[in-house]
Amino acid sequence: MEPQPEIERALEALVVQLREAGGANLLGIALYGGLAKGRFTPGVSDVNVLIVLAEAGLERVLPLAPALTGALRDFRIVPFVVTPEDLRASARLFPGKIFDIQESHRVLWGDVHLSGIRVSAEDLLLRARQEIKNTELRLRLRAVERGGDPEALWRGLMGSLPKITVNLETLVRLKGLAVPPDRPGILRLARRELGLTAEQIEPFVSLRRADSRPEDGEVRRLYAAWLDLLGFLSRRLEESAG
Amino acid sequence: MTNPLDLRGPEFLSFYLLYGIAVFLLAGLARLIWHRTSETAPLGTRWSPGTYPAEGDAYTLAYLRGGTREVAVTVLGRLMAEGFFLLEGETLRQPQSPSADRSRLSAIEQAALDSISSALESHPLGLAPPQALSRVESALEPRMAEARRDLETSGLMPGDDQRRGYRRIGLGAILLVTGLGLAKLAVALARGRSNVQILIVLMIVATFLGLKLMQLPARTAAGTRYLKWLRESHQGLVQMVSSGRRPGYGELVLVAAIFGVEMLPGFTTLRQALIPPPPPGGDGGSSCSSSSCSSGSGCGGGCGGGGCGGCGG
Repeated sequence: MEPQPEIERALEALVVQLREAGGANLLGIALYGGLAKGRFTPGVSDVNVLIVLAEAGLERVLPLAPALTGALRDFRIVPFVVTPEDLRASARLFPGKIFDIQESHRVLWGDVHLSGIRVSAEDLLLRARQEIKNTELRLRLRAVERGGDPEALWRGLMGSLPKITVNLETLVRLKGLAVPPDRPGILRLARRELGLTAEQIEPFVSLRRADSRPEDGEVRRLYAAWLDLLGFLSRRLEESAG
Repeated sequence: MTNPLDLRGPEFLSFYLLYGIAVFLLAGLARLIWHRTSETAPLGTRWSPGTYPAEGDAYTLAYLRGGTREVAVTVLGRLMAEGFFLLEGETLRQPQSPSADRSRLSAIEQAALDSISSALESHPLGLAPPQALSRVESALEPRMAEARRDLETSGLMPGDDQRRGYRRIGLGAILLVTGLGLAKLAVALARGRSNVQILIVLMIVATFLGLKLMQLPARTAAGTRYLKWLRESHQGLVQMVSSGRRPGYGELVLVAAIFGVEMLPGFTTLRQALIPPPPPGGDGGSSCSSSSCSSGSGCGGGCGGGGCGGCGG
């Protein structure tokens, strides 16, 4: 991944603004998501920032709004504003997200209160199963609700690819394996570890969200293969869950 | 020194031409200096670089960018995004079961919706997009007075003082050039000359140029700077909205107001439909531009949880 000096400068400025606006209520700030993992496409990827506050009532978060609105509109910096208590609850409710943040984040300032939080393997597995099945159902629905419009199918496919990759990353991590930073590496590792064939996974390895849409027939072929892959994964996970 | 009024015909015309060019160049320069120096923008207003506008300010920004027409294009884009209308071929019409929920519409949007809906009652097959645009423009024109006042007070559009300045510059140029021409015309006629046609043409041209100089610019220099800042500081949002990652109507309208409706997913051709480019052989100035395409939001029905506030990955 190329260095992103402009975004790094924007993050530095954001930290300064948030410290000024948040005062003692601001506990910590961390970068997570694609940029923290080393897979980031300028102009396509969001920049995810975890902001931990002691209190997050409206009167406590509104002072942060000008800085966060500006960061979002200017640099696609998408905030995730929580308290330590939110993080503990989220570890049970959204285990995949918290696990993902725990595994790959870079502290920008302060203490983000992630160290004491435990995410259970069972919760993670259940959440990954839910996400993969949900994506399959949503994509099937998209196909029938949008009249099979290739543009809508392409957007659905490209929008779900990063999310499914994160879930596969989680499943591989649960096996105690080191995960490569790039999406092709994760997909190929998942193929080996989850018993997929090269034919199933290879068409998606080189796809990038910045790619322009292929011709209609190719979009339909890829979408069908993606739905098949999700269905296969879902069945495999349900079998292993008993 | 020779009195120019005593110059013979061809000599006077050469002198008059050079004199006219010099006066209009000076007037143009005066206009430029006035444009750059007559700002009255109070510092720290909500319309200044560094202050991110609220979503509710979107139509005022569209007005700053292109007047009532741009507001009308933006409103139509917003109404179409929510399914109140659809563009089918060369026709703007209501879908079979149009959205009935007006609760999210602002007063401006409701006025535009009413103006088209009433027209569609008498044109059940639909309206030509330029016709629809013109109706919406007429409906919105009186409502934009407040936005205009706001922008004038903030120094982003020329206010009364600046307006007077532009008028004085143009009027001064007309008086200096046409006045000399009139004096020479009087002298020529008094001396029994009748070959004054070229002089009259030059006076008409001078009057036309003077009137052009009196025209108000759409924005002050501060307004142009503010728009430039808006475009630069909303690059992240325009990427997210045009790729369908932020489907909320408020942000959608904000992006359309700042960058143009063609930046919205699925609306790349709307501007061409509403404002057709001039036919080949015309002056060419089309209006549409770039950006992405496609159909819209992101989520479907599905089941399970959505996550906690827009996931990473």
